[in-house]
Amino acid sequence: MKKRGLVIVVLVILGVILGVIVVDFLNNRPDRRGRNPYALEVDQYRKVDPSLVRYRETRNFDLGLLIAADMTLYNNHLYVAGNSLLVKISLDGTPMDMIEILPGATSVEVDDQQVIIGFRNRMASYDHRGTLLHQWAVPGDSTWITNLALKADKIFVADAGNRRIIIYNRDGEQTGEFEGKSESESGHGFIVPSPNFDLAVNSFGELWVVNPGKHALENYTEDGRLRGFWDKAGFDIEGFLGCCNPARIAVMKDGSFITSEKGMVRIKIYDPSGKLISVVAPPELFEGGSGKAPEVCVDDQGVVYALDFDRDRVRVFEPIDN
Amino acid sequence: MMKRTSGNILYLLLFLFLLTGAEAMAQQRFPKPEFESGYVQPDPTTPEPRSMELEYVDVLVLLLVLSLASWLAVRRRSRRGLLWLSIFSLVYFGFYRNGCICSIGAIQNVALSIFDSGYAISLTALLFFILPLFFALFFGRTFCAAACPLGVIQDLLVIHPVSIPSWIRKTLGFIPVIYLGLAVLMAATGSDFIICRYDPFIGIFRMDGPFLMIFLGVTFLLLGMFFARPYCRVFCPYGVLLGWMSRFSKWHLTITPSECIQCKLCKDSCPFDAIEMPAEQTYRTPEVARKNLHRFILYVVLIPVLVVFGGWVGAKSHIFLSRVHPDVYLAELMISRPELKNDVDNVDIQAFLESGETFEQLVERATMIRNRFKKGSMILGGFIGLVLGITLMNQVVFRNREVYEPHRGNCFSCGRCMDYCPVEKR
Repeated sequence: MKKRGLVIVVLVILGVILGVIVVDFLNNRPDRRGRNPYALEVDQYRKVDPSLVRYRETRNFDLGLLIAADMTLYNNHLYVAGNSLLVKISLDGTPMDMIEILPGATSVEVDDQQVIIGFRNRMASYDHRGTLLHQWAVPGDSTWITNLALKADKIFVADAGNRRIIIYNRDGEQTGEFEGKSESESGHGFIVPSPNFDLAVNSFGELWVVNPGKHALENYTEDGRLRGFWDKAGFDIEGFLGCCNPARIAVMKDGSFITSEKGMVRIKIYDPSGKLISVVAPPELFEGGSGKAPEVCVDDQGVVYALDFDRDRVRVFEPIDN
Repeated sequence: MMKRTSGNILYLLLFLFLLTGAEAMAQQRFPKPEFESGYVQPDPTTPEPRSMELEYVDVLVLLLVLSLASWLAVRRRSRRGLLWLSIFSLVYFGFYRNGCICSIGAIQNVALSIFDSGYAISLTALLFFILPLFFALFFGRTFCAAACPLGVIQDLLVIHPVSIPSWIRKTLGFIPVIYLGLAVLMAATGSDFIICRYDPFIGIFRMDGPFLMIFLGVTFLLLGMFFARPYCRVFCPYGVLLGWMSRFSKWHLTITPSECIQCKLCKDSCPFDAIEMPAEQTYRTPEVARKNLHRFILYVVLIPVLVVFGGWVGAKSHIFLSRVHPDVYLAELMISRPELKNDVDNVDIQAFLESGETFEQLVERATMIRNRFKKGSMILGGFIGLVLGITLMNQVVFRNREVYEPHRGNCFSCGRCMDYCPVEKR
């Protein structure tokens, strides 16, 4: 009798095991699954310590019908490229001038010599009155120009499609090219998973290139040798999050960097060595948008101008100390 | 004796220590990103990739274990040797190799490679599938005795095994057959690897796993204290294949090393009810023989009927079974509940929408998969009908057995019964 009882217990347990397996199997379906264990939950990182935010948005201005692609700041004026136009705007938002350019601009840079416009796989230079000086094709099957930087007679072109920086002179002749590779372990080369690849020349004439896949800012000589870098990968406010950040940068007068991130959009300031100084705009100011990184510019007073692509507005952030 | 045992353990530990160092040879192609945050990456479902050389080491170890186990079971007749060898296999294939790769799961790799020309099975998986079957064909289920970590972990915890009535055992014996058929069908259609999904001991070997896996593992082990090796006897699909091979084994473990003296000492020695008794005299009467012959003829006639009926039932159930495939289920779901397209929390639907594939393409693929299920389910049903028919037929086949001997299909070759036999080897 005792043995019979044990046999019944064994059979019941076997039945339970079988039942559990069948129920689990039938429940493992797209509309019956539980929480996704691999879900990337970053909500906690949207909150930023208020003491770190040392800027506030003081104003913003509409760009009218212009569908902006890029913006730069030169001589206390903003230059916004979009549609087939380049619009010159004063820092208080008043349109000053407008020139017609070729359609499809992706990037713009202005200095006292020329206005340089980058297209997806072409380049063009204009004088300040809007006269087309040169235009040339950038070779490569997957060329995707994302940003430009100017220094003296050199034009540095960031080509995200081919993960390279191309150097042209003002006549459109290629004088150099580099992919950021070096023999040292740090010189992996540019990792550009998406068309977010920026560069800038600071007030000391140093060329800084974002290596977005490595969450790094890298300093190169003009012939493409890596001189130094800093990187910050991380979910928290001090790091860069996601596949390819910072998506855009600008340089301040003292060599500090304004960084703009895509995905969880945030704008921050780092000193030249990569230490976080402050937050210009926390993610909550960009909620509801597509997550595209705003283009950023900064004037000599440290006022940050962010081109918000979702709202087609230039948003102005001034230091609270001012 | 004690000194020699300690020495053996020392060598075993040294060997395993050296193997842990060899793990460094196996590197991921791309390192995981290092984030300076508290993010904890979820554990992957499979162990880290292993270098090809180390995979061949695994095959070599399996080959050596099988050879040694066969020698210990058939020639040396050493239960103690088999026990130590099985502990080694538990440590190596179980805790060191994390239960992967295993011969049981390799069934699915083989099935998929046969039916999907785009899938190339690795030589390691193929050898893990073939070698134990090959050894079973000659020496019985020595793989179960000392090479299978799933079997060993249960075997070590057999405390007070109870004998289960024969009719219940035979009924339960159909579960592994159905499980085998379903596993092959799921793998062949690219739907799922259910053997791996419901491997109860992986979580224990890896010291980590989902709650269900741990629950099943612990439950099986607790159950195994009283119903020895429950997974092997009631679920293991590979055991079905091993059993078939072992039935034809040329040199199988025997209880007695020479002539059985009918002392009956071994009668209750097998915790798995795998010892067959001598046939009773009542079964040898002409009346019983005639009755059995009639039943035999009936079952022989019944087999094609069962196969056809099974095939018909299988074909009828193909729509239900095909829903196991994620594409079929997803297509049906998106037809019946189109509003789910807007559910951002539904990972499967969102992943499909992001893939860029059109809904029409998904439906077309789902239809193709369902057609494959129709054929597969029909074969599965026919196969179950055939096994049922042969099992029934076996019930009435008279075997003129006069000694106690292990059932070649069910015996795990653990060697427990040998220790009970007082007959000396001549």
